[in-house]
Amino acid sequence: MEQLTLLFNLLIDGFGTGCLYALAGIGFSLLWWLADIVHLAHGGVIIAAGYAGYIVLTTLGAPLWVALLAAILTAVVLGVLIDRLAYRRLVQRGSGEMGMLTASLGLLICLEYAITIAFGPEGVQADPGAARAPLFPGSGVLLDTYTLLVVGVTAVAFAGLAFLMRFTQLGKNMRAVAENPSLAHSLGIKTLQVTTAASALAAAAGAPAALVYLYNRGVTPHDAIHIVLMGAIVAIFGGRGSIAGALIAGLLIGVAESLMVWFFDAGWREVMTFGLLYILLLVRPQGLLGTQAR
Amino acid sequence: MDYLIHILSTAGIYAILALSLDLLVGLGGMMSMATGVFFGIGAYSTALLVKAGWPVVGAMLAGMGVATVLSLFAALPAIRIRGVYLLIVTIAVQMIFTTVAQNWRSVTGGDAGVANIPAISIFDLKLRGVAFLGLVLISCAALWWFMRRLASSPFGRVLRAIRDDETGASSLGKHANAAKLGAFGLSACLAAYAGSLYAHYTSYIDPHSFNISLSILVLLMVMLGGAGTLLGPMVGALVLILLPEALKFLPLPPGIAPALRQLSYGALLVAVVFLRPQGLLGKAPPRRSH
Amino acid sequence: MINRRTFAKHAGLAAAASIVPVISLAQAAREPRRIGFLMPLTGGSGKLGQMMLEGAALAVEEVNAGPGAGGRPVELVQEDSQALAQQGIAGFRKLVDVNKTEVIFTGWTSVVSAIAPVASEAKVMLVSASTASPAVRGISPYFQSTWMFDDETVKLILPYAKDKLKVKSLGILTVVSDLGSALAQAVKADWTRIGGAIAAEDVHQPGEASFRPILLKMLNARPDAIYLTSSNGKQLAQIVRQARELGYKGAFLSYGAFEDPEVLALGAQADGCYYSSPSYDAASPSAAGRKFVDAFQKKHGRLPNVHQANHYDLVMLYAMVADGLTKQNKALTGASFREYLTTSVPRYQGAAGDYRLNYKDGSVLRSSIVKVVRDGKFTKLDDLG
Repeated sequence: MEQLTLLFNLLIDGFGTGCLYALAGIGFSLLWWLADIVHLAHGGVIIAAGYAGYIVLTTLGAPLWVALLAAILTAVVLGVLIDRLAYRRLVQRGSGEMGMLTASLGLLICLEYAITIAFGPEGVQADPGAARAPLFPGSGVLLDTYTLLVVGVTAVAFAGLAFLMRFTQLGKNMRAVAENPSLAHSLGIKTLQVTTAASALAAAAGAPAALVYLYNRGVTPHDAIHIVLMGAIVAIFGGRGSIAGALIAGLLIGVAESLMVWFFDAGWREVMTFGLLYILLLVRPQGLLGTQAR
Repeated sequence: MDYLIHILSTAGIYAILALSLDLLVGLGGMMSMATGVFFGIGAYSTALLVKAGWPVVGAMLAGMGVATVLSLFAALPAIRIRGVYLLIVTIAVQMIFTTVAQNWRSVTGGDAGVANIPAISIFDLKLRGVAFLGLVLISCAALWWFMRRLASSPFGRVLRAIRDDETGASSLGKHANAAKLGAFGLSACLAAYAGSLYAHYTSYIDPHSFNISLSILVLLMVMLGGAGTLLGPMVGALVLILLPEALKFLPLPPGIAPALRQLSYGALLVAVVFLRPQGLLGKAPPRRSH
Repeated sequence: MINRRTFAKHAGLAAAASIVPVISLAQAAREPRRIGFLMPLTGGSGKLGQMMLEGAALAVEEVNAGPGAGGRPVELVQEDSQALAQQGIAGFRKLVDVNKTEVIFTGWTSVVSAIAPVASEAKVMLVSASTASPAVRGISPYFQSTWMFDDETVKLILPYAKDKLKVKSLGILTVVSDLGSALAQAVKADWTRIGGAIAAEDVHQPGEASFRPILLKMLNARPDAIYLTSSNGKQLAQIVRQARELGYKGAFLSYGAFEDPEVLALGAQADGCYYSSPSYDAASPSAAGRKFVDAFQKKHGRLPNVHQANHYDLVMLYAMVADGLTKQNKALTGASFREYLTTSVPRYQGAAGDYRLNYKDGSVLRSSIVKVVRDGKFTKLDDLG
């Protein structure tokens, strides 16, 4: 019976981690699908959002929802700036894929180390406190308010994105641009504006992920590249541009990582994740729910 | 003076690494983040084999051989996928290597690394200081010359064709695939050679020296110097090794200097792409007529 | 053409030139003795390294306020090792090649393992108050520890846990490293020898920050206590925090790594972290320690911890050796430092207790106590022997 409880707890833990990965990945996936932009700097943006949230929580002593707003605001400002000042200009110059990738990588490094210089390399962490108290003490099942909150936020975010994609003009425009940018342009859609909106959305989606990191294990500047890497893995697994795909992929990876402890020494976890990614890229690069790469 | 020789020797080793990556990125248009892997394979192979009694030359060749064979892990996917997907595959290979190096303690020593690696000795003469610098410089010159010949050979032409026109190159069929495998193999071989030099030079290696930060740094050297120019990346290596040394003369609080150095790398990457995408030594792209 | 102006210039230069050697001779006599301080100053162990620096710096001030070490003032040259071997080697190179230090204070197993062979060759003396792994036992004749190796401290805290804390089953969380596996081996051997049961064992990466899945698995085996092998204060704090969040109410055991500000920052969650430590108690110091505690309190406004006391002692020990060498009219080099230390200093009484130095393998025996984190303080509980 105890083994069953352990399994259940690992599943709960994995689910929480999975939501985190899905949130981190959906932004990356959107931009990639829409404008062929590999937004490596997304990792840096998320870290910055995490720090913003932390500062609001601790220095200003503000409640959680204010911290979330601060995180979203920081992320959106950074995301849009990067899009307009960097990506848009590079695209207009005809900079190739390599140039975009290099620039994005450079921006990621700049963000990471600017934060390191300002706040030190140790990272910051927030204490979830009472939210981590199990809802059913004595049962052995470790479901707490915190996990429910994370799942809830993820659900809201993804539902919101899905709604946006399906039922709003912006969503329709985005799909048009993703499908065929020149056609969309000739139809009168302002493609650059759409891309900027997508950047803002992508950044906003990453902000809750930043806060979850903050409470889970702390936000460290050095995590930037790992975060965006997980985001990329989720985007690839799920298929670029697929909202449902990102969610499913994130959850699968999160649960797999947790359950892996059951079978293997914890040390080889990363090898597993990247090994699976490797195989997936060889076998089905368009991921679970994506369409064939353009 | 000793310190200057030390810096130049380090720059020389990185120049070879940059050259190896330029083969992939500059000539072949294939972005790779796996430089650290082959650098590390070369270093670990030579360190472990020499400590087990092998002669230096044999150990180095063995390291280069292992690296070339293992480059298939990155090269085979390159046949089917390209661009960002290939980049992520190389990142995956890099991460796996780092984890394996850290955990396979019976072989690599894990996080503790391999210490006490002897210097290269030729006929009982230990190559240190100026002598080692000489070896490095000769290697750089020889390898650069070799790469120039390679670039203008049919192999080089196929690579450039792949870089410039993927769909057109696919009409070359088998030739394109073989060229990709060859490029990765040769690149890995060169990187492993640099790794061997590095191991014998620093006398101590551990997984942290061969992680993704190194791959990023070498990429920066290539982009800064001018991808495809062969000489440019080597110049880029020199610049990027000298830069942190220059920073050391600024009065900065202790914790800031390493972060500032990394920040400057990032800023340089962005600046290069914006201001001079062809790199220091690259030719300006022809003015496009709209 | 020699005219009055050039003559005056030349004469002036000649006069100056004759004075300069005299000045530099006098200067050389007061030229400070440089000691390398190759420790983590940033990163996960950075706060601890900075604290250790405070202890050493206080001693330097005291030495310089007096006649100095062997008649000359002392200067600490800092290099940040970040507790990483690569940085350690680079720092070592700089300290020896550029700063010409003959003695270096250093610590952390990963760094020491890397630089000890190089130090042997360069004949530079390494002294450490912060290296715990038995893996460095006997690593080099030029390495001496003033902190007990943990295969020995393990033998002290485990019986305490069994008898006084009533721990029946133990969980062991090993970090993938030399220190980690050496410790885990020692713990397993000793714990089973005294009749304890091992509930669960697991390993984690040195850079890990997310321990939930591992802890879930371990806690499922219901250990009464968990032995942690990490030497990274921030990581230890992370493990303790996450375990407490999962509802773990048992004890944590460690060697001295718990005495780290990162662990204190956890607040109430850190209660129940037990560790062995050299017998130093800031609340009631020995006679030798009193002077140090008061001076530190005066300068920093807080009580010093055992690490600060240990590093204070390192500088004082250095000064003692320097004095001895000067009396013998010998220059202080790494080799002569080692020679003097190993022949003339079998025991040392410092602010942090007494040291019985074993030069055969670079180890030391200290009288030890068990301490616990309680109410935001490191509290002595009992003597260990």
